[in-house]
Amino acid sequence: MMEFLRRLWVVFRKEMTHCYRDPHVVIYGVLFPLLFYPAAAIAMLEIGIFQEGKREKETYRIVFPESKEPNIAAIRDVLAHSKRGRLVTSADPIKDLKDGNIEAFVEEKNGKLTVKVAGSLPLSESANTYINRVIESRRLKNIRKELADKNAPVEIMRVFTFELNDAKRTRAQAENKGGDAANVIFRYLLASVICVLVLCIPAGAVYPAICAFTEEREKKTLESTLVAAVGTECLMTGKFLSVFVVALMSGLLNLIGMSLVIWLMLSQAKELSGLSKLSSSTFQISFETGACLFAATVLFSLLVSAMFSLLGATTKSFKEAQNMLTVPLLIFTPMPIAGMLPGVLLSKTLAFVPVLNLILWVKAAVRGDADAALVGIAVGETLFLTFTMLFLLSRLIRMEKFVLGDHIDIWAPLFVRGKANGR
Amino acid sequence: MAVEVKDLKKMFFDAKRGEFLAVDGISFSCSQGEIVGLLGPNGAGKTTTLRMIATILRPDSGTAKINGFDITTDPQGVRKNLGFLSSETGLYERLTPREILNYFGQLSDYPLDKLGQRIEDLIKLFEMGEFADTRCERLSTGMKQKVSIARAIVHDPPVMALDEPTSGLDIITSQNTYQFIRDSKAQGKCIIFSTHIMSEAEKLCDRIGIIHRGKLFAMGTLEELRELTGEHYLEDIFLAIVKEQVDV
Repeated sequence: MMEFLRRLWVVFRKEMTHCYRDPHVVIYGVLFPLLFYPAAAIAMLEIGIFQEGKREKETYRIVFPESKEPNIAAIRDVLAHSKRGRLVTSADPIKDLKDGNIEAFVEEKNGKLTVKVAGSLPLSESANTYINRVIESRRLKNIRKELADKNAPVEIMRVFTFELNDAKRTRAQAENKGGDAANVIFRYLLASVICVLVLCIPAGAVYPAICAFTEEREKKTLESTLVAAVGTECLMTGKFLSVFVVALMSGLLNLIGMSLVIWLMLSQAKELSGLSKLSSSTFQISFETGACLFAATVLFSLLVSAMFSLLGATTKSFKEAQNMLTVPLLIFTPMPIAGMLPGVLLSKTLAFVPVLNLILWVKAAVRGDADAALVGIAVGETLFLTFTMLFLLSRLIRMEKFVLGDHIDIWAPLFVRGKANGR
Repeated sequence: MAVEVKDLKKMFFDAKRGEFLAVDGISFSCSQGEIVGLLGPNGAGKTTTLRMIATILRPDSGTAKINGFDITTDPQGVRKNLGFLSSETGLYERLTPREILNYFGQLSDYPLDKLGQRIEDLIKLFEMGEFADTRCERLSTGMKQKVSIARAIVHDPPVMALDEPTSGLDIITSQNTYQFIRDSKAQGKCIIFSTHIMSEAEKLCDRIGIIHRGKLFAMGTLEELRELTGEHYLEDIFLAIVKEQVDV
């Protein structure tokens, strides 16, 4: 047993060295997960700042009525003295609006203001929003003043909202009402982490699988490896473990990159939205949820590594392997989308759908309503599929066609009789 | 005998030819300090025979013993006693020659405490010092061949199966390979050597086996083959034997 483990370690170490010297593995398995999320976050932030800066420079030409009514006069005064509003006069404001000479035209009828804009003009909608904000601000100011004059409590201004939820969760959140929105966003982000991993782990596993299995056949290194005094099981296990470890590492790097960016974004959001007074528990995950996320990541990495190793071993060139491994990548793509749809939950039927069941398990764990029996089905099925593919891989490696570098049909391992090459 | 091959048979399936016998009842032996050459044209069955001896392929019938280990019942024992070099064998491109020797040495049963010295000796023997730490993808064909040979014998096996070891090599590298084979013989190694180059077989082999269409038609020293056919040059000997057998 010790000798087997020693040889396994030798094979595994060699595969890892050989694999991490492949630029494809480094790019897709290391650099991409580490750089993508910060780069995407920085890009989004920069675009946001740029858009905001651009909006601040925008000025709206507005035709606003002169009125003795104090509120309208006050609104006009605010618009006249703001940086973005420029009050203009017009003989035919509707025509000017159509021609793009003004962005908005405000009309007064019986003390009621109507904002008219041209939907086809890019600045017109922004002008509408801006004017509405000014009007709303004035309205709130008046209400506050009225309330103060009548000695009414300010709490009357609080806007009540409701959401459909079970009693348990509503009770738990009742103490942290202000954090409801943040909590929902945070949990949604948490559940979507597994979805991103479902897309990223296969991308990280493709090239290690090609390195470990396809390249052996393409570069004709297999014969010398098979003649080495090492059993097929040891060789296959060492190679598979290298694919699994690189895929898992890639997944964990994705997880770290994503977590850092989400944490930074939430910190920013808390500061900007005044949510900083919220209890820190709003943004914390329980040990159970974290463990579920990690376990699902490990299981998915196992499944993907076994699948890609098997498919990689049936191909005999880099290009053929790329084409072959693109198929499962395409199959995995819609899974996260389906998994995140509202109402799609881990059920007796969906617990048998590979990959989707892992996504739904994490989703249920985040919601706090994971059913142990259904989770058992999802985990059991993933492990069963993984070991089935490894069994087929071990049969395939013993095939003479594999050794000779000949074409192998994808279903060929199912029909191998006995050990073909005395291994 | 270091190598005893008995009635080896191997059948392949080909879409064009259907089922055909690639190796048809080949038997021969080779003792320590002897070089046996398998001479035949492309597709004669030389590589398949050596692959069966090296336990890469399983014979349909017949067997072979390498230093007493049977290729069908004890393939692991065979692998520990055999160094196999194929002309088609590639190297791990992103590993250096030193890493490759270390990898195969560790997989063999060679004592780990002596492995470092063994690798240094091989690097010196094959003059690989300059490129021992360069990735194989950057090496020339000759350099790669040196690494391949060193890789095949890193565990110091008593038996060597060399499948067309000079295929694709320039004359200088070929001469170095011949010298290595002669030195191995002097050390008492048993060497089975396949080639389709007549001069190579003539220069190196103690005994030559003529293989054609999967069958071993004749086996003996150059003198014995000359006597058998009445021809002097190996090329003529080969043609005479093959023609006679095919006619029969």
